[in-house]
Amino acid sequence: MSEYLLQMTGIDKRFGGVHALDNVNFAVRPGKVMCLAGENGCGKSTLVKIISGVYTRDAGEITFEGQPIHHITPAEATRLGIQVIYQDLSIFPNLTVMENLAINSEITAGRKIVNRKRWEQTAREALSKIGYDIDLYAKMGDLSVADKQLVAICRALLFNAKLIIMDEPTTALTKKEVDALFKTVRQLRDSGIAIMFISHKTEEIFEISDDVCIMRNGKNVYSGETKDLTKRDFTFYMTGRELVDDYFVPTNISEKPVLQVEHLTWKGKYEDVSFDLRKGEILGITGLLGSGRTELALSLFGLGKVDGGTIALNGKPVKITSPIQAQKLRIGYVPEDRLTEGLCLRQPIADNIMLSSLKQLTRALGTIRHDELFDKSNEWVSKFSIATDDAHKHASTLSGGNQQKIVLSKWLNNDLDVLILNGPTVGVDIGAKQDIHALVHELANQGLAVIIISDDLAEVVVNCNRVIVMKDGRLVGEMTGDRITEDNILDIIR
Amino acid sequence: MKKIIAAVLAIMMILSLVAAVAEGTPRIAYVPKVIGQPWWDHVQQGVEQWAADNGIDVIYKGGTTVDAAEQVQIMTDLVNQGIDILCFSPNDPDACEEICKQAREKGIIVIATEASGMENVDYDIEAFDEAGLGAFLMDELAAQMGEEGEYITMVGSMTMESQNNWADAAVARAEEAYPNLVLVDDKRVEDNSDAQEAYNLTMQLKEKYPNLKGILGTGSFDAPGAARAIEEMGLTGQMFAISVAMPAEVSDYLISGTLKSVALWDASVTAKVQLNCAMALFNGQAEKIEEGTDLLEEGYHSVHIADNGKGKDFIYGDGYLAVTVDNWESFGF
Amino acid sequence: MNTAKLKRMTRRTEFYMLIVLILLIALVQVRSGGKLIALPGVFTRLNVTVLRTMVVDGMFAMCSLVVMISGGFDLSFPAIAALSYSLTTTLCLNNGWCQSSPIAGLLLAMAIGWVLGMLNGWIISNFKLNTMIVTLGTQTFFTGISMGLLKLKEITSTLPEGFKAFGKLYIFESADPASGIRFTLSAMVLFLIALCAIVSFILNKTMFGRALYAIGGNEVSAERAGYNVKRTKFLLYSAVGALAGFIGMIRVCMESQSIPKAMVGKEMTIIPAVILGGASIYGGEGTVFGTVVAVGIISLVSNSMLILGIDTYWQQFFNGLVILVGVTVSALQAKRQKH
Repeated sequence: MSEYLLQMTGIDKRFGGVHALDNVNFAVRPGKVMCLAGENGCGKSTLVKIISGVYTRDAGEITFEGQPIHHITPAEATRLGIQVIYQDLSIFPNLTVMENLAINSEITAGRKIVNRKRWEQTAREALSKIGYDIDLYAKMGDLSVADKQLVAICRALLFNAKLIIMDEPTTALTKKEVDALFKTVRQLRDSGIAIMFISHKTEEIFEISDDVCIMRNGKNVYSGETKDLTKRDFTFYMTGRELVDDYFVPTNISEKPVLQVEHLTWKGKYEDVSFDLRKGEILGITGLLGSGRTELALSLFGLGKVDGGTIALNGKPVKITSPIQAQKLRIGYVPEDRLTEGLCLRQPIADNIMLSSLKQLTRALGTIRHDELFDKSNEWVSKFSIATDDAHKHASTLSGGNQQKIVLSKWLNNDLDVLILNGPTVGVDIGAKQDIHALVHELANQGLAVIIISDDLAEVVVNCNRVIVMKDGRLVGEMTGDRITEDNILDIIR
Repeated sequence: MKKIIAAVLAIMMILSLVAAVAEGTPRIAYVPKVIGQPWWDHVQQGVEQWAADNGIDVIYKGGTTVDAAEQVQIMTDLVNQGIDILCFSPNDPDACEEICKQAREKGIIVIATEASGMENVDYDIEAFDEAGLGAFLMDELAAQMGEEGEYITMVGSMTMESQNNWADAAVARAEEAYPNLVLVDDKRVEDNSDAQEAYNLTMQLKEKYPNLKGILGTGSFDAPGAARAIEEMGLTGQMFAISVAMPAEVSDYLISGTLKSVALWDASVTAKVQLNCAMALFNGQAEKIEEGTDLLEEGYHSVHIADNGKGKDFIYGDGYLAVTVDNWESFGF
Repeated sequence: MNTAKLKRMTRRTEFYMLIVLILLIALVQVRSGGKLIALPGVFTRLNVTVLRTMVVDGMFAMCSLVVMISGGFDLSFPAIAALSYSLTTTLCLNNGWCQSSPIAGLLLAMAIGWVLGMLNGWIISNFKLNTMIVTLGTQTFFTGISMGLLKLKEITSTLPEGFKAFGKLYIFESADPASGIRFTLSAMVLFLIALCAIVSFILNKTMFGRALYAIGGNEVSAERAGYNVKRTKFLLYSAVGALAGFIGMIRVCMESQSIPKAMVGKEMTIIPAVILGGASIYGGEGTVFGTVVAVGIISLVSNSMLILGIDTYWQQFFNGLVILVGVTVSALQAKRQKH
């Protein structure tokens, strides 16, 4: 018996001309959490699909529990004890928790007739594996993401799983839910199950993993124990670049505030919020989910209600009732969910970049000057180093970070006084994150007033010269300069 | 695979558009109320026979449902394709006025039937005078009902002008000649030219008016549908129904005695007369059809002209007839 | 009953539809002067007619229900039914079949429907196309075969005796106490009851039924869970085809007439009824009970409009309302589930 549960050596996989996996070596120890890290498109998913039997490798050796495995099918993977929990969790939102738990094993057992008693028994057995309690007859779709995830984990455990692969499980979770998930992961690990955790979030990887394997461009560039790795090295392996946290140093703060908010209230969402913002500043607004931070931003952009209080721009009181009006007042907003709110994924990159400034590009009759559109958008593509060879391609061909860059450039095309960024780097790779931060710093120092709304405390600390903290719809703290640390913010939030 | 299917479909569509047209002869289209019903199948046979006899092609095209909009669309397509003669039987005469006006502006000869009130036609041809048929239906029904009791009127659709005219005439006849007949509701019921609907309506009507004794139907589905309901309720001989109908469609009920008679005219002959009239105008044989003109078919050798009440003349021939258990087989349709 | 159960129940469309049906029954009963339900005999002329109307509509609704649960739409089942029965009656008439027993005709119609359904199933499962588009295409195709290629005719008086006699079978005969008019409860109601029981069993008690819900809920997950989605869909659409052929033939027997175009547009009254009964336009939801209740509502309304003195024009208004309410409720529910 080898010390490894799963060992893969010299794995190669090509798709047409693309060398997706290039001589990848890889091993998982039983009873350990192994993180598979890497930026989008590095080959992580391909590797997982080879393990789970969806794809067949072109070359390389795989051994599981010391036995060489020649050909893996999905059914074979299940039999060996390999379970994958995909990002979408593979659940049925229309069925009950009980059915979601039992259905896979019923199918695998080749059952034809439904026996409610047996289903319930199976479901209870599954829940008992991690001591999780939930209404078996609740509808899956009504559950929170965290609960859905736990159900998916319980379901995987029914198959005597020896290796559970979790594909980016923390993406849609709040900090608290992530903590709960990690507790479960540790519990599983201690019971001898190997966990393969796919992620690109530095903090999480260092918190949870025993071993780490970092991939870049189809090769694994680092394999080893997490404790032997510094965060700095980690970032280097991930991106292939030396990246250092560049703290924001304001150099160009105006004397008069550009935005003054006084006693602003949206009943039931937030109350009596006052702050001001000068040009050249980056103001952080932070707080837990439900603290009212996002709603405040929506009010400033005309998407939320204002029940009381005033907003003044350059000293003049204004009423902002719609996004169009907010744009006229030179306020820009980059939403949290860039995929659904900020981008037309199936439209060309260039069109997306120029979307909010089409007016400047139209002829008398409302037709669009296409050449100019592409010239202008190409400027932004190079300025932001958006990774594409052709701005005519759909925005959906880009990675998350590059999509976020488009959303940003879309706004910067218009001359703005105030730019509101809501969770600007959620789901973005480290490399792209650094690019976006650097860009925001530059914009601020050119005289733009920026608001960053985020619950990523590290991001707030690095990028903001001033931070206000919200809790339960109220403004509970403000700090500047050196006072801004993660600990200080956490003190207030908790 | 998909490309091949697409290509085949495209070729088929193109081929279907290429229709050979003989030089010198008029291009004629006939648009019935609907296709795929026995009544209109019979009309189609008449039109086809006429085409064979005269050696002229006739495009026979209609909707698969009784739908005024679909019919107007078909007529519009035909007019735009370029035809010389358009004969038709409208589902909703008012809806057809506009396209008929356009057709006439293009020089197309337009001949209607069962639409005596239409303005934008060269002529409307009726098999008979509407008031006469209405009175005939009433006389037959009244005799069956013993000239007393409650009755109600049923039509295929409220927008079918001629059927409503017959019903009006029947009610007028009852008021004039049969004082003991009571119209229980002057609201008319419509069965959307569907025997099943006529059956449902009859069931409901009998529920609402327990003493209902007669159903004066007009469209060709009214009597068969009503008769089935009457048989099912076990009311043969106590409740009666009549309408225009096809002999073969009602033979069961004539034999069982549930229906004593239905009225009929040969619509295929009327269609031929429409075509004859159009040809006469097209060839310049006649500027105008007058009282006594011969339109070359039995019953139309000496046609009548009447004013439609809107200052426009329409043509009608002689004759509707009663179909009974004794003569139904002689019609052959 | 605990509060969680009660809460779950009040969130279901079926629950509200049942309330609507009960209110409607009360309304018709009062407005018609007690003609809907008689005591102690229960059956009246009116309610046997409503049940009679429900037979064909209810059975068609079952076809539509199972397809919608799997996340699809079948617009072609009326066309399948029409082609199956028109071809069957024409063949029977020409060959002198089914003069005493309808069984051969019923089986033949099912077989034709099955073949047509297999075409749907094959296209849908192999090419993974949108079911609404595919069945819209096959609907036109089947209608074209029936009316254009084969030129199938209406058959009324000449319909083989076996079918006529079968359609007239009844379980129960009575006479209206007031008028003495005879009425019967059609034996065809038994087919509706049997079909509802079978569909309910399949949906709730077999893995095939749960597969339909699973596929409707999340097709990718169903595939990952080990269901053979392709095969399931093929089986589903071919079974629905066979069923549609059978139902069409039952309709022919009940009406004593075979009219090729009688089914045109039928899907546009059946599908909204199924949605009204709680089936989701996005798949994964729907029950036999809710569907039967919705069909009951629609049949009751259409059969009592005249009696209540409402113009028949309002029937169309009501049908439109059913579509709007059904689709809105379905969309709102799906939205709630997403968030």
